[in-house]
Amino acid sequence: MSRLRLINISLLSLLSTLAFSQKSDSVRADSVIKHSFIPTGVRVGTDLISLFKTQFQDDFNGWEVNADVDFHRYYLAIDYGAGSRTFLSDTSGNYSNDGTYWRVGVDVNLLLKDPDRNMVFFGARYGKANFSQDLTVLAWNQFTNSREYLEYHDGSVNAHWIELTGGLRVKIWRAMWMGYTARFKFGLQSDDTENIIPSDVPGYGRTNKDSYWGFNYQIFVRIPVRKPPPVTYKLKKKKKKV
Amino acid sequence: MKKLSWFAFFLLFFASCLDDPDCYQLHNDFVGVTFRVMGTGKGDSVFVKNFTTDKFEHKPSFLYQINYFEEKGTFSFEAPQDKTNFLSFAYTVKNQFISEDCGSAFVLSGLHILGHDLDSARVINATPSKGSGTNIEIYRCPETDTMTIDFNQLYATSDGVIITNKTSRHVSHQFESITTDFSGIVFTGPGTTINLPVDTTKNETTFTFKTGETTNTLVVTYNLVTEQRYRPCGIQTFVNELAIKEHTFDSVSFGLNANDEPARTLEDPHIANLRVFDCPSTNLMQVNFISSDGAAKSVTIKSITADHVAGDLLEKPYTNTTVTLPVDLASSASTFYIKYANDTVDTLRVTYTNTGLQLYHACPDPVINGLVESPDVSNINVITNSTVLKFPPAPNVEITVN
Repeated sequence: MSRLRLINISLLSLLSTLAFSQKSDSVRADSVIKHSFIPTGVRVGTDLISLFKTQFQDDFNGWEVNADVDFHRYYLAIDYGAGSRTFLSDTSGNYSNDGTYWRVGVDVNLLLKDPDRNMVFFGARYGKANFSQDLTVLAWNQFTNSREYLEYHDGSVNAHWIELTGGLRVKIWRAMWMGYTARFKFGLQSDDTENIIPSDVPGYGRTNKDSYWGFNYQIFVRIPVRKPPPVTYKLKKKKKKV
Repeated sequence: MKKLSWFAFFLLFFASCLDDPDCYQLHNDFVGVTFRVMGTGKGDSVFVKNFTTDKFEHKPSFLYQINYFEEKGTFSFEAPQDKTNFLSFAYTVKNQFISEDCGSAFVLSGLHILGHDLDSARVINATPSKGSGTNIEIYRCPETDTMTIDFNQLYATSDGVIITNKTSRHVSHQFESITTDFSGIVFTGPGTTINLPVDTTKNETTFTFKTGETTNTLVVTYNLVTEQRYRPCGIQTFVNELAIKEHTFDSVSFGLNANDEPARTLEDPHIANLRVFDCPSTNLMQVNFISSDGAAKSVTIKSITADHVAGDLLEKPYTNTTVTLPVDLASSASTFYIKYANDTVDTLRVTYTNTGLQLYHACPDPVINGLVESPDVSNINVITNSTVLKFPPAPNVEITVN
């Protein structure tokens, strides 16, 4: 876990540096972009953390596809993914789930004058998941002085939630973009299941708290559909010498 | 600086995600039961067997652990004298995996009552707790014919001129019997606050209190209202407008209800309707026995007689370092004859002043001061600055004994 944390922090620092160094190189204070709500391209990407965790973490299996479309400074964002988790407890039973999820929402870009369309953004999402779950319980019954083994299965559970998002999108090379999205997830509601209260919801995460933080490192490819509006510069008036 | 801020911000993001869940008390498998009285809704302390500890306990509420491998259960409330009530209930049990370390938690909800033979019961919180709070309230019908009396001792301090420190304290009396004019003996034994039944077939009850050689009577009158106030209780007779008709105690007054008004209505849970006060004795003189070096000395006294008292003041030989003697309030002098185990006799004669000052309006005995020894005897001395008789008694006289 600590190694993963170090990698996370290093990548964060790198991306932050990239984003802000690009901004300082290319943006002039007097630049102006013409407003246009007609989309200029579609960005499609995937979450690297999910892929990394699937590869190196035994209890997780999942992937996530992300896409956004620009409408001036507003971006329609859509995520779709799948995930399964397995929690094993040596002494008291196991939990596993498997399902898909999607999120839809809007991001607002705070960098209006960047000609590369780099983004520092905040936004919101509505998320929904459908998954199955299994639970086995091994527990001591103090009323009968015996060990009990219980098995439960829920075939189809629905859950939905809200997210507040924030993050970066940085143009790396030509059509290649990288970024990260931090997600503050809350308001989780799930079906009234018969036996199992979900411990983990695909796309949301652990359910033992009222709110939950999530994080994605993403790599994107941007498919342009039209030429972006040009950047123009205001002419500075020269002061007349008296 | 800006980069550093972003870095710190996201570092905090991660730190907030990494804490582990708490494994302590995973299951919410406790149901709290609180006992109340119908009408006032006040808490009711009941004497039932706690089947968790298997002991009879006097408590206003119990916390029971229920079986999360079942979805129903029954509480059996066993009172002394084999009186038992039951309350059956049901609930929903679900499971939630908490963590690899903690395992699974049984999550209970939807508590509801299936049946009972109590007066009334209701669920106020359908989610069992992890060890506190009330889920079920059990109501009993109020006892409508019970009057409560508490017994108190009055105290005050005086130098014979002014009165200070007027107080009262609950006091326990050893009752040989308390009887009513309609049901015979209703109480025996020691008591400070006593619940007594009133006759709900008429508007008056006479009580007789026997303590040792003293017998006191109390007659109360009241108004009766017969009606159905609480459906599970049916028609009941309620008592109000309580009045003290006559009594032989030193003083009797009404207790106060929650509104600080005289408690003329019989309530349940019971509050003191009447307060009986004993006047402080003003004629008690304390005599201390000392040796020639001034140290307290224990003596054995065979008898104590006095000119104003018929017979012996002692029922049997008495050994102690001090003795309390009652002076004659009808006179300004009293003489006591103290006969020791070796048959020697000390004659203690004191004179004093009856100030005529009453400590309380209801207490006629006057304050006694100006205590002096007369005539002067070499081994008997009135203690300087202790010439006023007090209650509780304080040392007034010292007798030097060999």
